[in-house]
Amino acid sequence: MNEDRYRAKLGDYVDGSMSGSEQQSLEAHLETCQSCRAMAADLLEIKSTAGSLERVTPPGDVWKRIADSIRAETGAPQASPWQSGLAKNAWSHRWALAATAIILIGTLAIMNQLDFFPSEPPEGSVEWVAAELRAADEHYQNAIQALEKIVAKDQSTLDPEVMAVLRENLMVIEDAIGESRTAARQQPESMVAGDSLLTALRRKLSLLQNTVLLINEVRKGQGENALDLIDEMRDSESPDPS
Amino acid sequence: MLAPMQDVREGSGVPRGPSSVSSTTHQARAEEATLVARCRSGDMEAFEAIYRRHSSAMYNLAFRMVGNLTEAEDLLQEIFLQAYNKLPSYEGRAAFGTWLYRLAVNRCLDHLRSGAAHRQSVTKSLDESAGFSPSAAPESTSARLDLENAIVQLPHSYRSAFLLYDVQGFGHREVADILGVAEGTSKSLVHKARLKLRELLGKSPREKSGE
Repeated sequence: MNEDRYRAKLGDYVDGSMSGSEQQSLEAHLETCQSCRAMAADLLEIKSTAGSLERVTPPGDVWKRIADSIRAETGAPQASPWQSGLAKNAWSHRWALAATAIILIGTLAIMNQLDFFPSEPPEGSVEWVAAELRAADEHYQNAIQALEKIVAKDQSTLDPEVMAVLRENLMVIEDAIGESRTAARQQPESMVAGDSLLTALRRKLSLLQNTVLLINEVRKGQGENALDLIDEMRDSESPDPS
Repeated sequence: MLAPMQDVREGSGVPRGPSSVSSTTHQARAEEATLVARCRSGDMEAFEAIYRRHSSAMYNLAFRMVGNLTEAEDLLQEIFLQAYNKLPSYEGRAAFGTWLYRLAVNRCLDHLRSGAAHRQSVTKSLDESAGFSPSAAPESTSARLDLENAIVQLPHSYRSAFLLYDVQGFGHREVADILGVAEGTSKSLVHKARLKLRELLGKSPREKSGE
């Protein structure tokens, strides 16, 4: 390995991320090359010093300024800017969303000859919340299974590469569903756990819906529509912006 | 010669970034998710808890990005106000801390690019800060102050990668996630930052003597 290549490896050396044999080879070179040895020493010192820089403490009044700004924007002590005009009870808001999703599932159910009815979101106890979550979970799962059957039957219509991407996206969502379901079981009173589960189930449902639509578009020979749909599905699974 | 430290950050399954950001345990994420959900309902106490958890890390990042405590303070306020307003768009795919760091880095970069940054000597800033306490060993303090001053001279992309990796202690995967780049790019940026710092600190071969 020439000197430039050894120097290019110094980053990994400093990070301690080289394999044993690579590190041995580099260290053998360092023993014979003064300039590389000096560079390695300097880079190690920079890394070490960086890790020990003094931490500064934020001034104590910053939080008050933030809180005052938020209250001034929202115009109320604890109002949230994006919830003005919506239901006061956060749970009924979320269950309104769940009910909307269930109505969407009902539309799919007509396509698959299943029957769903939206639940009214009454206020209730922790047990009621857990029972409602289980019911919504079951409805989603039924719709998802129906869609999965369609996709399994007709997936050969789609390009294998597209199917591979869809399967990969499904795996990510299924991990999220698994984690959220565990959290919801362990913390039945947790709004967040329930929310997370419903969000993940909605994502899976949405992905499967779009897959079915994509299959239909390809079958009809609507290549352009199919490409638009693929772009839309790709964008919807891309990382959070900002 | 210093020996390379064994890097346990990558692939160990136990992240070594600041506990306020890189924990992957479900319980920690569930706790944070609970706070986020409460914030969305307008619970200011929950948002204050989030602020208390992350403000020090954000403040230190902002300070070292812009090299000025007063501007860092303003940026800290802006970061958290932006976080509050953008909470509806946080979908939980990334860890909350990663999302917050991403927002903070972007805010700092916008500030730098706008030309609003007024760089002063970092040592002057630290001297004036009530939070600064010099180490008992003058030589190490001098080395730290020299490095502080050199960091604010780095190109923006090198600076953010270096601060996240070598100062804040994230792994390359996390840095890549925060900066929206590939992991290899994170490694390259950090390495280039260190080489540039070496040059700024006067350690490059033509300045050094007799080692």
